[in-house]
Amino acid sequence: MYIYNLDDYYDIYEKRRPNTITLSTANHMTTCICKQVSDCTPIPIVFNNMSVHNPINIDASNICFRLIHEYHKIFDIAYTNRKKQWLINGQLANDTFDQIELLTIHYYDDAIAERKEEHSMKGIQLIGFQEKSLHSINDYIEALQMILNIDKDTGYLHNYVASLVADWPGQLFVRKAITNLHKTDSQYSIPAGINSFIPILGPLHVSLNSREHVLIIYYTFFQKLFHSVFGKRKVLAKKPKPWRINLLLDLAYNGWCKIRNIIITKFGNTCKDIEYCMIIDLLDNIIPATLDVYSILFRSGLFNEYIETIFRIWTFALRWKRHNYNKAPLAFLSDIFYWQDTNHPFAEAVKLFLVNFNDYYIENMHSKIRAHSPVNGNIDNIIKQAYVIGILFANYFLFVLCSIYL
Amino acid sequence: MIVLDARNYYELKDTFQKTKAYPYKPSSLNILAEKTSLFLLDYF
Repeated sequence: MYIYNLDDYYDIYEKRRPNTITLSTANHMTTCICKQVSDCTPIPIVFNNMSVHNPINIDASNICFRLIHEYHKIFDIAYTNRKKQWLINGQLANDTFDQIELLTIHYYDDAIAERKEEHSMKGIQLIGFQEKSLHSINDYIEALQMILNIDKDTGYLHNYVASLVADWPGQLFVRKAITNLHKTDSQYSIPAGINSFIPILGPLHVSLNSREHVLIIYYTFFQKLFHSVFGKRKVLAKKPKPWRINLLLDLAYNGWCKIRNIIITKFGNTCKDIEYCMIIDLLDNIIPATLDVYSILFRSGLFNEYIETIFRIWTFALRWKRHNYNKAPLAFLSDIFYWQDTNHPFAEAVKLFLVNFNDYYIENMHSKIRAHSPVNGNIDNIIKQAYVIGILFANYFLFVLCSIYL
Repeated sequence: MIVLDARNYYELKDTFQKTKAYPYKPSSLNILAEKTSLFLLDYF
């Protein structure tokens, strides 16, 4: 089975100051890569007369049913306590990941010394890198055509599923395209091959955005923490860099773990003070859930725990009225529940090969392209650079040779 | 062929050689976490 990543790339060296003609000189490009999961056989789109696409699209009633009957009481328990249950039951291993490694989770390139062991780019193939923005259904259809053009020769996707791990617009527009494909009166001209694609929630984006939003929502608290730990003269940006957000969340959680028992013993679980409840919810529930969802649960391949925590994070997004992420996890959950209910083999494929349904690969690729694009590079140079990096990833032997001898 | 070219191509060389170290060691992270605990105790 092949898993695809599709995302837009823009050149960070653009001029952001508008002039009388243009607003920005950013070069917008589209990247498409794929990773082969050789242990997983291709999954048919239709199995036992059940399509991989839910005929009612996002099934709200099924999500409500699962929430009431399966997850309701679980979400009453703070994530820290839930994690303790997993540890006791042996569902989760303790201390599998190094602390520094967890803190550098959103450094997408392996230029950071602590991420040198990251070998998950092995076998990544660059399908295409072209000048194109991704803002509409037609943009996405044209971008997916890169994959379909290759498939004309191989026929690999004919009647088989191609999972597409993407950010929110990727999921939205590809889902719209599939819905329009099945409509009789659609205004769009959708190629039949689009039916193979199934958009999947990108775990890296969920992690990055939820961590960032925790800091934005509880900014006043984190500002006090930051000044207390790093000094009053230091300035915490309104939207800090991902590495600093990770550091602050990690410090808050580790600092909390050291005093948790003392505080719980002192105030008990019955204290109803709103400020107390808010801070306990932040330290005991929100922070650890956002820290673990990708870095521990997803990367450990713990399917049930990952799905549960995605659902839990959706409840945070709903509470914060967070655009896109108050909807995106529901679409993913609806699909997962549908595949489980209909015994579609794709449910088992996601469960067994969860770690491969990652959007890390494309972020790593973009990071490398960005690091090695000249400041005033034109589109042709950026595209050439992308393909050189793509060739190196595809030929992993060459990649290792370059790493050793250069 | 690409390997030979890559030997003299510094931008490509940097891709695989240049490394940055994370600014904090586990020991200093532990001290920072303890400072955070003191802040949290005070906050409660």
